[in-house]
Amino acid sequence: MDLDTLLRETAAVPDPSPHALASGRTVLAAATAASGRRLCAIGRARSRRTRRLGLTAIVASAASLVLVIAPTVDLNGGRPVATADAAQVLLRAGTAAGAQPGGWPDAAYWRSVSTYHQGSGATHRREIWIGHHAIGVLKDDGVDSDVIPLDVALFPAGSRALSWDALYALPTDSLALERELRAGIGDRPGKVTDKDGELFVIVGDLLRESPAAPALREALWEVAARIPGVTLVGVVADSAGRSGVAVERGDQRYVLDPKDGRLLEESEGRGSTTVSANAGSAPDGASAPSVTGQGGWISTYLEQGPVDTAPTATNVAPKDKKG
Amino acid sequence: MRAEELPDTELLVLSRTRPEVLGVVYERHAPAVFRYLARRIGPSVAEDLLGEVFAAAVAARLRVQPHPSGSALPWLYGIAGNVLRSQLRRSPVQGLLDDTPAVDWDAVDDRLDAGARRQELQVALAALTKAERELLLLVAWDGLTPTEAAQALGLTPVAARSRLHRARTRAQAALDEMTSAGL
Repeated sequence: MDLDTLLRETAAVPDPSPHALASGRTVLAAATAASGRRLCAIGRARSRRTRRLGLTAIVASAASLVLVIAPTVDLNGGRPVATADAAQVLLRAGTAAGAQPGGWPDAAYWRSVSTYHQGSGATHRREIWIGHHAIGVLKDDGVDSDVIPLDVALFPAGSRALSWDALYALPTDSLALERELRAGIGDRPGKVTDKDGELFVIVGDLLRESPAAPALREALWEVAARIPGVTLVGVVADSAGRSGVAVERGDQRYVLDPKDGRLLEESEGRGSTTVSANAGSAPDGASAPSVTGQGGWISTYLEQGPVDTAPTATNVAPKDKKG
Repeated sequence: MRAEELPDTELLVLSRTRPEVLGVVYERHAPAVFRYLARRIGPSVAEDLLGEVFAAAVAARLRVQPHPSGSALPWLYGIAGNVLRSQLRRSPVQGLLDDTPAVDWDAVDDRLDAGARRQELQVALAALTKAERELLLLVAWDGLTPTEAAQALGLTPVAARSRLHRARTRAQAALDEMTSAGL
């Protein structure tokens, strides 16, 4: 028997059935969607771990906080809300954010510089130019050494992705905004069991690397103040050594600057922060957060603002809108 | 230019930041990947593993170096081999030559017309090392060039050609011996 003949004869197999191809396509689509979310939000993988953090978040006692703490803060018609101290922090941050100058409905790009690390991995620098009408670009040494082309701006909001203009069309009344964002969660394919947790994540999605106007930032923090289960961690130093106040829900944590309502840092999973007892003061004694294990991540937002131009990505073909 | 018109090499580079373009790679190569799997483990299990191969490709795309031939298949077959190994570790099957996923003989038996072909194939491949067997089948069954098969298996092209030549010689000798023995 000739080897070539034997191998040729034994190579014949049927083609895949339409069902097999469709099934494989579905699996690929799910993996692609998960990967796309990760790429758009590197450093903020949105795993839906339901377990509580293993760490003990040392919340400063109410008596030691400089912050004004009301017994209850009910902004939602009797529904349970964020704990009173967390709600106070978030409302103050919203007021501070709303008082900032700005509003960039016509800017060409939004540039943001951050650092991130996942698990015990190296810290990477991420610089992104989000394009209003043109494609954006990304410099991220954790992804590629070259400049990476991105899509035109899309900001995730539950099941929807908002364009720059759609971001500016969101209501800035916080109750109307919450209704709209919650409606988006309801549209999301698959079952979202923790809709409050999803809403808390969306608040971060719309605040980070985003040209959201001050009025929208104020409304977003107010929405966060009404989310049940949000708790105050206290004063922390972020990875850049800046003082901020941390709030969290589940293992998703935001560190914000109460003076201007900026999102300084966020983390998910195994964030470990030592808390200063004197909220509002310098973070003496507060240690920078750390992440251990492969599941956690921290993103630290260093600067952001509107710019007119972006670098040119030359390493790959730019996005073809028809494709 | 539409994504569907881009060559594999550009799609693989693009996939690092636009993973959705792997959908184009899928439409282009899913039948070939299916056949790779079906030859080794049977069409039924291949149907289950097809999506798994491409899901693994999504994760592996950041490390891919497109092959100079321009085809994504050597890369995909390399991933498919890993998926096959994992599957066989999870669900060991009877009749494997050894612990490498070269061939599930029961599956091969099912799809071959006669037991004689199965026996000849088994004799020919049994004369080879695991690595030689995978290399020979990638070229003979799956249509890769020796240099493409080298990429799928992590070999240099020179080593692949040399190994392939030895494999073919030994497999043919085993067949000849079988014939002369009247088996």
